[in-house]
Amino acid sequence: MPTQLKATDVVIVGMGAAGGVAALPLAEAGLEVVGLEAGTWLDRRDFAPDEIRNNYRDWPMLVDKCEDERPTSRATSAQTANRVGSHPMMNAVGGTSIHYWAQSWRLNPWDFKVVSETTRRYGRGRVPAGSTVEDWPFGYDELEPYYDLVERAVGVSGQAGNIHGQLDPRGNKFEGPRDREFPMPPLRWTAFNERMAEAARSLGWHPFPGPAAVNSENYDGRRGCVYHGFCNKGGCPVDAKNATHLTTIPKALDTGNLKVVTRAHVTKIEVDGAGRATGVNYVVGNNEYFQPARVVLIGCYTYENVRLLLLSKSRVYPDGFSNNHGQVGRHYLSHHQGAGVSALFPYDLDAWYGLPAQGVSVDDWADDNFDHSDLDFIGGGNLWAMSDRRPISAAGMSTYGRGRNWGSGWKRFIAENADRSHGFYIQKSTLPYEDNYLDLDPTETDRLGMPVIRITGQFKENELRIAKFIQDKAEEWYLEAGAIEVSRGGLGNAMGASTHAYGGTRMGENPETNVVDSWGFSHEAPNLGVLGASVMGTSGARNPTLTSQALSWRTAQHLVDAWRDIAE
Amino acid sequence: MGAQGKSRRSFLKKSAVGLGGAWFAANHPQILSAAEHAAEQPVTLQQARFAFFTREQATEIDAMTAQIIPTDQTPGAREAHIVHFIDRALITFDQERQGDYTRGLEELSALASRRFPSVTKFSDLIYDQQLQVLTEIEDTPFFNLVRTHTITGFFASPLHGGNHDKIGWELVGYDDSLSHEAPFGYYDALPIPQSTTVTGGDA
Repeated sequence: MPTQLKATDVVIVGMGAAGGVAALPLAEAGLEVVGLEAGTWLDRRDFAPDEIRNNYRDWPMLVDKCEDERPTSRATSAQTANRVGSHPMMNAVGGTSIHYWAQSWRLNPWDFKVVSETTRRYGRGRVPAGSTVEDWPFGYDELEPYYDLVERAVGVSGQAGNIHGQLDPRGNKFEGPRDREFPMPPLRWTAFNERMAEAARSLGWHPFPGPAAVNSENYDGRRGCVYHGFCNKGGCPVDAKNATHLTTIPKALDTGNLKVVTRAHVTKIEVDGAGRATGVNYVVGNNEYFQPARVVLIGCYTYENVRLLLLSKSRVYPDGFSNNHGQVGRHYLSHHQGAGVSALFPYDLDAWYGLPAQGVSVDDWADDNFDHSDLDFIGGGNLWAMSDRRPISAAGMSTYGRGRNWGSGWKRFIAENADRSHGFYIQKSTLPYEDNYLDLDPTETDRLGMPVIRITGQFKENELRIAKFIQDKAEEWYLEAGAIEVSRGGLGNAMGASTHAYGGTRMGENPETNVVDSWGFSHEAPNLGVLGASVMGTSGARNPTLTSQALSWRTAQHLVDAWRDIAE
Repeated sequence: MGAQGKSRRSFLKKSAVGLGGAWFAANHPQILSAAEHAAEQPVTLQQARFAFFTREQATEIDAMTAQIIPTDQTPGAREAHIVHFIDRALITFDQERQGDYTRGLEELSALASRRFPSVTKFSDLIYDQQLQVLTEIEDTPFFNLVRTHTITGFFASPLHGGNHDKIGWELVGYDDSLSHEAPFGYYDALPIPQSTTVTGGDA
C-alpha cells in the first residue's frame, strides 16, 4: 500500500518549463501546491562546457527515468516502431528549460486561426486533406497578457516589432501587437549576424534579432550572457539562461506555498467514482506514495503527458484518464530538424563564442506572411541564422567535394574552414493529421514494466512543400551573403522524436475532438488540467516553449479565479 | 537496456561524418576518471599503460590514427594522445565497441600482411603502404569508427584524454579561455539514490 500523504490543494506533475511557471501564480494566490519532479535540483556547477558530455552523450538528458522512457517511432501504422536513439526529455527541477536553446517566441496571430484565416483569404479547400487542424479556441489577443507576464517573470530579451499596432523596423513586423517592449534588449549580433541581416535587407526581407530567455544584461539578480557557448544542450554555468529552476520556481518557493518533491516518479492519476481526479501515485526508489489533491495538473513533456493519461486506466476511464472520447494521443505533430541547408563561406564567421539563441531571424516566409494564392501549400517557415559552433561538430562539416575526409589534405581543409561553415534548420508550420498520433507501444516498456509512448508520424505533402520552398529561400539568403557552397539535406519522412512535440491532449471547445477545454482543463475530469505543448493544436514556424509557458500561466490563473467551480 | 541500448549506438550512420548525437549517451559517470587517467599518461607508447588495448594493439591504433590526422606542419593525432582517448573510452562510456576494435584490428593486420607479405602488422608498414591499406578500407564500419573516435578525441575537451595541450582546438582557431572553470561534474559523479525516507523524497 502506498503511504498516504497529507492532502494538498494542487499537485503539479513535473517541475519543468511549464509546471515550473504554473506554480508561481498558484502559490502567489495562496494555494498550497506540491510539485512532483522525477529529477533533482541542479546548479551551475553541473553545467560544464563539454561537447562530449552535452552533445554526444546527451547529457544532461541522460537521467535514468527519461532515458528509460524514450519513445518508439515509426512513420506509418503499417510499420513496426523502434526505440529512438536520442531523445529530448529531461528530469530535473527546471526540466527541459535547463538544456534548451532558449529561443522564446510568441506565436504569430495566424497560428491561432489557421482554418478560418486560410478559408477567408483563399477560399475553401486549401486546408490539406486528412488534416485534423482546428482554430484555437481563442486568438493571439487572449494570450498576449500571459506572454507578457512570462517574458517578465522568466526574463526574455528581444526587440519588439509591434507595440499596439505601432511598427518598429528593428523588430518583427509580422508579430502580433505587444503591450510593451521586452524587459531586456536583444542579445548582441556578431559581425556574421550583421552580414546576414544586410544580405536579407538587400533581398527586400525584414531581418530582426530573435527573442531569447537569456539575459542580455543583468536581470533579476543574475548576470548577462558571456557568449561563451555550449548552452546548446547544456545548462548555463553563469546562470544567464532563464530556466525555471532559477526564475519562477524559486519565486514560488519564496511564498511558502510550494513544496517541491524531487526523485518522484509519478505512475498513475487516481480517480473517484464520479470521474474526478483524487490525486497521484508516485514512487521514490522502492517507496510508494499517494498524494491526494483537490486539483491535478500534469506538466510533463508531450510524450509523458500523453503516456501518464493512457497509463491511468480505471473503471471510469477504461482507455486511459480523460480518454473516453478517444482523443488522448491524437492530433500529434512535431518540428523535426530535418531538411537543413548548410553553406561554406570564404571568410571566418567568428562563431566560436556564440549561442544558438543569438542570431538573425526572417519571418517573411513564415505562417501566412506572404501570398499563397499561387502556391500549393499553406503555412511556411521561419529562417534563423544563429551563431553557434562547437569544435567536434565543426570538424564534422562537409568537405563539399574537396577531397577525402581524413589525412593531411583534410587536416588543412578543416584548419581553414572549420569556422567558415553555417547551417540552417528548417522550422515549418506543421499540421496535425488523422494518421499521425501517439499511443502506448505494445512491447517496449520502462523499468517498472510500463509501456513507453509510440510515435506514429510522417510529414505530409504540405510540410514537404514548405520545406522545399524554405530551402530555396535559405539558399538565396546564403548566396546573397557570399556563400561559395550550399548544400541541402533531404526533406524528411518520419517525424521521429522531437524537441518540439505538440498535441496529444489538444485544447478546444469541442470535446469530441479535444482533450482539454479552452482553459486547459479536461472535458471529462473537470479538476484535471494539462500544461505544456501537448495542448497546442498548431505549431507555428517557431520554438514552442514560451507559448506553452504562457498557456500554463493562463491555466493556473484560471484555476485561481475559478477555484470553487473546479476544485469543489 | 537490451535492444534499445544497442540501437542508440548506431551513431556511425547518423550523419555525414558519423558524429551522431546519441553516441556517447552510454554508461554513467566515468568521464571524470577518464580525465584523471589521461592526464597521467606519458608520451611514448612504450612507457604507457593501457586499460583495454594490448601494447601491440595500441601501436596499431596509434599508427592508424596518425594517418587519419597526420603529424605534418602541425601536431596530429599522435601528439594529441588519441590512442589514450580511445583506450579509455573503450573501458568507460563506449565499452560496447570493444569487440569492433578487437575484430577490426585482427582484420587490419591480416590485410596488411596479405598486401605486403613481409610484415605481420599494419604498423610495420612504411607510410605510403599504410596509406594504401587504409584507402582500401576507408568505407568500412571499422575505419569510420576509428575515424570518428580520432576526430572526437582530437577536438573534445582535454578532460576526456585527447586534444592534449589543446592542439586540436589550436588547429581550428578555437580558444577556450572564455570558458568558465567551475568544479564541474558533480551531477555525473553522484548516482541518484535508490530510496529515501518516508517523507516523500527531498522537500
